[in-house]
Amino acid sequence: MARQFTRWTSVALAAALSCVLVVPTDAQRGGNRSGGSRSGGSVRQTKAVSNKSANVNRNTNVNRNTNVNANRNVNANVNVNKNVNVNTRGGYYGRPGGTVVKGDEGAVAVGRRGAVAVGEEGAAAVGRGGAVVVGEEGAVGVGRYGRVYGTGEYYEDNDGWKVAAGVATGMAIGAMIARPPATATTVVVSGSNYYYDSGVYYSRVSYGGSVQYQVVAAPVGAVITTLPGGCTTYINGGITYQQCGGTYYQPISGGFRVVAF
Amino acid sequence: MRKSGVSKSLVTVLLGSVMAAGCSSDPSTPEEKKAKAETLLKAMSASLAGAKTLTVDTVETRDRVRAGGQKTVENSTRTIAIRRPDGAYYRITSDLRDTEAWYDGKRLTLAMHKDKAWARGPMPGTLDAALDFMATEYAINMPSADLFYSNPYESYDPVASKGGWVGRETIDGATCHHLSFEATEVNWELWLADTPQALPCRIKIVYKNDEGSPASQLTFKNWNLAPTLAADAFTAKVDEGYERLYMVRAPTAEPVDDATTEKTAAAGDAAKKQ
Repeated sequence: MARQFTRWTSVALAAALSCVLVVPTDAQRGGNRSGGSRSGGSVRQTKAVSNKSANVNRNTNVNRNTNVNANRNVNANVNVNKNVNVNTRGGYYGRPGGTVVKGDEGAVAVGRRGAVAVGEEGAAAVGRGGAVVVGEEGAVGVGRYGRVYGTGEYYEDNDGWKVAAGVATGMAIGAMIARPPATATTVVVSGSNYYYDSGVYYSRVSYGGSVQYQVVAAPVGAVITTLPGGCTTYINGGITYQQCGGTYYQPISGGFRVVAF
Repeated sequence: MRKSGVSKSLVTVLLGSVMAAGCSSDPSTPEEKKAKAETLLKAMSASLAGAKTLTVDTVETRDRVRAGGQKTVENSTRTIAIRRPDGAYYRITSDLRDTEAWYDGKRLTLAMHKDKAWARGPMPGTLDAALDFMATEYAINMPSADLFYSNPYESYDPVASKGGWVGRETIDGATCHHLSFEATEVNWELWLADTPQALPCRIKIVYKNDEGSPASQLTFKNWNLAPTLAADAFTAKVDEGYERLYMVRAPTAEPVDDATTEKTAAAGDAAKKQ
C-alpha cells in the first residue's frame, strides 16, 4: 500500500557529518515513486521528473542478496554479504573516489564521502559529494555538508509525519515539514540556526521553492536545557555523558551540550 | 539572419492563424480535431518562440494532497518575465508564500519574503535546460513552463498524446479555442486565443498518476511579447538581513557542477551583493 510504511530500509551511511539514517521505504507517498514531487509542474517538467525517477530506480529489484545494517555509532559501517562484489576503482556514475557495489543482478553506487545502503528491493544512486538512499518506493539523499535530503516529501507538521510514517515518536533524518513544532526552541550553533524539540533538530532549508524544516542530525555544540526522554548514562574516558538515541550530551552548567566521539 | 528569422516566424504565425481561424468549418472527426489542435499549438509556439523577451501574469490554483488524501487548494498570482535564451524571473504570491526567483544564466536565486530567507543554486546556461533543472533538481514546478521553452509545441508533444480540439469558449471576455489531451503522465487542457498569435488564455494540468489526481490551473493575463525589461531584471535582489538557506537538491544520477554553490556559500553574506 502506498501510504503504509510496512518496510524500513536498513541503512548504514557515513556522510560528512556521520549521521545514521532510517529510511521509510515509502518516503514518497502519493504515487511519487521517487525523484521528487511531480504535482505542479508543466507537461514537459512532469515528464522530465518522471523520466528522472525511472533513471533513479533503474536498479530496482537488484541486489537482493545485499544486507546492510545500521550502525548507530558515529561512523557507519557497511556490511555486504558474500554474494556482493565491490569495485573500488570508480563511482558508478564516474565520480572520483566512489565505489560500486555489484550484486547478482545489478549495481549500487557508493558516494565519495558516504555509503549507500540497499534494502531488499531498493537501489541507490550517488550524488556529488554524497549519497542517495532509495527504499522500495522512496528516496532520501545525502548531499554535501552532510545534510540529508528528502525527495520532495514533506509534511505539514511532525504530527502529520507520525501519522504518515506510522510511528509514535521520532522523525527520520531528512524528513521535511512545513513548519516546526510549536514548542520548538531556537538553538544557535556556529552562527547557524536550528530548531529543537523533543530530541529532534530541524534546519531551515529551501526546497521546492519554499522554506521547509528538515530533520538533521544533532549539531555538535548545540546546548539544550532539558534532555529528551529515554536517555541512558554513558561513560567515556571517565566522563559521564547522556546518550539519547544516537545523540550524546555532555552535562554543562545550565544544560547539556551535544558532543561527538 | 535575424530579419529572416523574424519573417519566417511571422509567416508561420499568419499561416497558422489563417488555418486556425477556420477557413473551413470546425473539425468533426478525431483526426481533424487533432490536426486543428496541432495547428493552433504551432501558431502559439511560433508566437512565443519568436519573442526574445516576454512578460505575462497568471492567476493560479493548485491542488495539494495532504496525508490522508485531504485536498486543499492554493490560490496564487504570478508575474513572469523571460529573456531568451538565459533569463527568467517570477514572483508568486499567495497566502502561503511570497517568493521571487531570478535565473541569470548561471544561478537561481530565491527570495522567500514571508520567511525572510533566501537561497541560491547553480543552474544550466540555457533557459530550456534551466526549466528542466528547476523541476528535476530543485523540485520547483511551474505549470506554465512549457510556454517558455524554445519550442513550446514540442514541450506539449501533442503527436504523442491523445486528444485534440474541443471547441470555443469565452475566458475573461475573449474567445479561446479549447484543446484537450491525454499524455502518459498528465492530462492537459489548453485554451488558446482565437487571434493570429493564438496566445494561451488558460492551462489546466491534471497529474493523474499522483495520489488524488491533483490539478493546476492557470489563467493568463497581460501577455506582452516585446516588453522593455530593465538591464538588471534578472539580477537577484535580496534584502539585507535575510537568512541564507541551503538549496536542497533532489537526488540525481547526473553529475552537476555546483562550484557556484560552493563559492556563494563560502562568501556568505557577501554573496548577496553579487
